[in-house]
Amino acid sequence: MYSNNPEMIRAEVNKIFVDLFELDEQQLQPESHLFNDLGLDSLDAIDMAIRFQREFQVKPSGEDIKNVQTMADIYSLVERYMPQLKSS
Amino acid sequence: MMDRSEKRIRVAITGIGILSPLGLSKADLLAGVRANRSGIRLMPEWENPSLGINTRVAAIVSDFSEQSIDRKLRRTMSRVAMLSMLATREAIADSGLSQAELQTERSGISYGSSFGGTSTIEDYFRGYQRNGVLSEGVVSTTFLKVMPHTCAANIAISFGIPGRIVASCVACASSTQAIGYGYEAIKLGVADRMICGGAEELTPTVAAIFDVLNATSTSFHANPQSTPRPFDASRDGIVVGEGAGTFILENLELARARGAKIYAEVCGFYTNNDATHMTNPSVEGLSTCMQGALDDACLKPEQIDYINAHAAGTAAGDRAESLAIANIFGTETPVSSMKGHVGHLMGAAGAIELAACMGMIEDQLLYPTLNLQNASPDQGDIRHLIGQAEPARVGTIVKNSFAFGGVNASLVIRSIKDA
Repeated sequence: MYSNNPEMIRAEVNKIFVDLFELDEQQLQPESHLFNDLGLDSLDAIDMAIRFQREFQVKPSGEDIKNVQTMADIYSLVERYMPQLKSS
Repeated sequence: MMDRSEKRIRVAITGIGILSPLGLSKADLLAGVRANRSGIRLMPEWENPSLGINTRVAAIVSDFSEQSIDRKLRRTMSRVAMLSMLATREAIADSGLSQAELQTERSGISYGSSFGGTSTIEDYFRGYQRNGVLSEGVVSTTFLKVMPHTCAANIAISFGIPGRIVASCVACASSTQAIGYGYEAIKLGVADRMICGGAEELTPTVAAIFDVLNATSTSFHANPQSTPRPFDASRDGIVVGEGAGTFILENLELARARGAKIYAEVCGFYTNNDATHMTNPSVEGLSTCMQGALDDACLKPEQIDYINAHAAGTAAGDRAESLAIANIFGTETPVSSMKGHVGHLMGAAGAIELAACMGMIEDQLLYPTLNLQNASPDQGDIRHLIGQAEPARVGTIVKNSFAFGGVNASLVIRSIKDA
């Protein structure tokens, strides 16, 4: 369904963030901190995990979610789950 | 009965905020009621046979801006909580209370609705129907949108109000009871100010609930604004609707000390239940409720200038209420219902109708029951207000709200000049 191309994954993740959290795409830099820079919180983190599960058909572990701090962490988390993703 | 000379904490109304089918502010509501205008509209989208709804008329709040609410606040709100938040924003601004005055343990919230977020529940079940997976439509905020106290909790978070929360979720009496409980909290000295009121969001499910009970209006689709017809011989049921009404109540002495504008005093409240039937109102229960509110206000029936009836336009409800009013007040006290103007706004009804009463005190005019032309002969002999607004001394008002479940609530309001 999704390509394992990192650029495409990044674009898909950004699209989800813009839609779910009403952020401007320009705010979504790899170093952007989810809580400190983007203003997200624990409820948002749960909805992010639910959305990833629905969009990418993967379920990150609770430990993985806890370790996510920045957008770069998100991109690498999704990439790490890439073997589970279907290629387009 | 308490003697009036006994020292008791008195309660002032210092702020009002309204979203109604007549517009997005208290000023819009009053302008509509003063012009004797109806907020009822046709619902062509309910023609869809898959909905199976007979009624085609409703009272909708149009064009309010969800985006004016910050995302982090909005994410836990269904439409009902958004309406309540926006009405409260107007009420707080109207009251002139500062953040510092509001954000103390002495400020609380008493707010209700018939349901939590019905649109959220409908969305969830649409997803479940599609996917057959129970957890499919659930997100972190699903419960926060559908919980019965969603309005009260979202108001608390939105405005940083840390005192008590009372969620008066008693269907169509929710907001009148909420104002009553807010009044009691201040009178008891456990709060200095209470944000009170109620809200409702309208979905096809809500219409279907009343439709199946044969309680909705279905005969006036060709001329939607001629229904509902409270007390009228040709009434045929309620027009379901939505909205929100917020009242800021304050300890009267504190309100005066800060130089607040005071609309009126809440001086009496009573609530009870019929304990006889879930949907058939009891004349005895309603009579006891109004008498209880008068006793609390230390007023006699002949001291009341006007009664704002619940009267929604159903035969059973209008009949029981008019008989109860005749029991307590006789045939001379003027009576009208605002539901001809705004429909039945369920959990928001009492607060929005009470806001219209504030206009009557300000104008010294009694607004009539819109669409009442010929009072039905099968009901109590009371003095109806028909046609145009009537100049009158409007100093004391009884406001009624009644609900399925046999719940009754009555408030007594007194103009500050009469206090």
